[in-house]
Amino acid sequence: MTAPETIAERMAKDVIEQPVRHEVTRDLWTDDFNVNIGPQHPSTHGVLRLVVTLDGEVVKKVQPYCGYLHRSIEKISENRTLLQLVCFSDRVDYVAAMNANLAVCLAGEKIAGIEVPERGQYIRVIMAELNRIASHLLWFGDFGLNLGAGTPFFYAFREREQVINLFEEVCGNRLTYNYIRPGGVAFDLPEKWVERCQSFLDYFLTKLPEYHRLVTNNPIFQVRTRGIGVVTREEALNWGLSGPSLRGSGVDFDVRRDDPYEVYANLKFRVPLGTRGDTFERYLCRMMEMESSVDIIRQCLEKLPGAQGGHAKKVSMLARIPANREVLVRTEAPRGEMSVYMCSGTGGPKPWRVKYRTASFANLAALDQLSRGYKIADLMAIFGSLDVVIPEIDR
Amino acid sequence: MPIIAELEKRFAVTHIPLGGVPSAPPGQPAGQPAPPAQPAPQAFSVTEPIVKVDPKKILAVCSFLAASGFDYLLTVTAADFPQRIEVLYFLCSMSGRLRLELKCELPRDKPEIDSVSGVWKAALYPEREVYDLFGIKFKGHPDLRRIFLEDEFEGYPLRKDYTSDFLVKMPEVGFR
Repeated sequence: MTAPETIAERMAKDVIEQPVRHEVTRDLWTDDFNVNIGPQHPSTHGVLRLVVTLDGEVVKKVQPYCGYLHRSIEKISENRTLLQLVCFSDRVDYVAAMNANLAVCLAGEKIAGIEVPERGQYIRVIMAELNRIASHLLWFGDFGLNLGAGTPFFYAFREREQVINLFEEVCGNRLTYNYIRPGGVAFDLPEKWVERCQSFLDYFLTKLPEYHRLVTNNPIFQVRTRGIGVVTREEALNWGLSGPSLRGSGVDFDVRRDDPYEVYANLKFRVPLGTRGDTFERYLCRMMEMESSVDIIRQCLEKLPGAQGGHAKKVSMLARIPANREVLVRTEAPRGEMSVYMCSGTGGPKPWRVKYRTASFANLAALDQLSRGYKIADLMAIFGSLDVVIPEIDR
Repeated sequence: MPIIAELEKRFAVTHIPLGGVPSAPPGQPAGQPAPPAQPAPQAFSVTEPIVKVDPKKILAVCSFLAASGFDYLLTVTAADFPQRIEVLYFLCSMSGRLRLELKCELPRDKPEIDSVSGVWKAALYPEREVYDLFGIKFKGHPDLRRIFLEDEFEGYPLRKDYTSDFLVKMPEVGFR
C-alpha cells in the first residue's frame, strides 16, 4: 500500500491540472441560498456589500453593491481650480495617493500647457514608485489576512512604515500627501534623503526573499491560490481589467512602458507577466513588480538632476485652462490603469469636467465572472487578488 | 490612422484630429472686408483623435471597431453642456497601441443611446455610472440601475444644472 499523498507531492504533480471549476449537474441540485457579505466586513477592506448566490458551497453569482463611500469627487473637482483639486485626488485612492496626485496633475498640465522641470519629473517618478511599493506591501499583508494568514501582515507593515517615514520627511504627511502639484512637486528633497532612500531599497531587497519563503513557497497558500479565479486573456481584455490583474493573464501591457509619461521613457525595467491568469499569478505579478519598482527608483536616484534647475515651475493659483480642449492621461497606478479625463469647456481656471477612470472600479465588475463556479471560501482569495480599494470604486 | 478613414467611409463620422484643426491664417490685409464669421471652434483632444459618431450608429461602429482590433474599452463617460450631453468612449487596441475617442451628442431632455456592453463587458459598470450621475438611458443594458446613489435619489448630480447652495451656478452666458 502506498503512503497517502502529501501536499508537497501533490504540488509536484501540479495541482492546477485538476479541474477546479464546479459544474452543477441535474442530479446534484440544491436550492439557491443568498449570503450577504458586508457592508461592514473585515475582508472587503472598506464598505462594500456583496450579495452572493450559492448553490451548496459553490458560488453561482456575486452582486456587488457599491456607493457607500461615494463623495462625488468629480463634481467637487469641477468647482475647484487646478491647484485646489489635487488634494481631492488623494482621497480617490488613499493607499497610493502619490499615484493619484500624479495622474490628475499630468492631466491638468497637459490641458493647460504647463512644463515640469526635469528634477521635478524624476522626483515624481521616485515617489510614484515608492508609493507602489507601499501599496503592494499593504495589499500583500491584507491578502494574507484574506487567506487566514496573520503573519505576513506584520512583516509587510514593518517595511511599509519605512516608506511612509520617507514620505513624511519629504512632505510631512503619512497618508494623503498632496505632494505632487501642477508644475512639479511641492518641496525639494530634504538633505540626505537620497541616501536614506537608497539604504531603504537595499534593506527592502533583502526582505523580499523572506516573503517568498514565508508565503509564496507555502504549500497551503499555493493550493488555495493556484487554479482559482482563472480569467483568460480575451476575457481579461473584454472585462477591462488592468494592471497586474491584466498582466497575470498574459497581456503584455504596461502604461509606463507602452505609453510612457514623465521620464519612464528613459528608464529600463522589467514588466512581470503571468500566463494562466489565476489568483497565484496575479499575486506573483504584484510581488515581482515591487522588484522592478526598486530598479526604477535606483535608476532615478542615479539620474536625478541637480537642484539648480528647480523642482517645480511656479503655477499661479488661478492658472487658466484654454477653452475647447480635452485630455485623457493614462497612468499606471499600483492597482492598474488610472486615467484622468479633463475637458475645459468654456475655459478659465476651473475644468468643465473631470473624470477618474480607476482600476478598482473596472476590476470589481469582473469579480462575478471570476468567482463563478468556485467555492465560497475562495471568493475572498479571488477578491483579494484583484486588489480593490473601495474609495477608488465609489470616488 | 487608416481605421478612421474606413469609419468615415462606412459610417459617415466626423474626424477631429489630434490637436484640432489648424485655424485660418491670422492677419487680414488692410482695406479688405472682414471675413465671414467662423463657426464656433470645436473641442479637440490633446492626447487622442476624436471621432464624432451619430448616436444611432454607435452599436454598429463599436462592433466594427471591436472586430478590427480595438479590443480594450478603457471607460465610458459623459460630459454635460448647456445644449447637449456628450457620451464619450475611450478605446484602445493592445496590439497596435492605438487610441481613439468616440463622441456622441445627445439631447439633454431625453438622452438615450444603445448600450455597448454586448461588445465590451467593460462597459457594464461605467454605463450604470453614467446612468446614475447623468441620467442617460442605455438601451439594451442588462442591469441598468443606479450604482452609487440610492434608488430613490432625485436628479442627476453630474449634470451642470444640478446645483445646491455650496455648488457654483452654471454660467448664464451661452456657448454651445
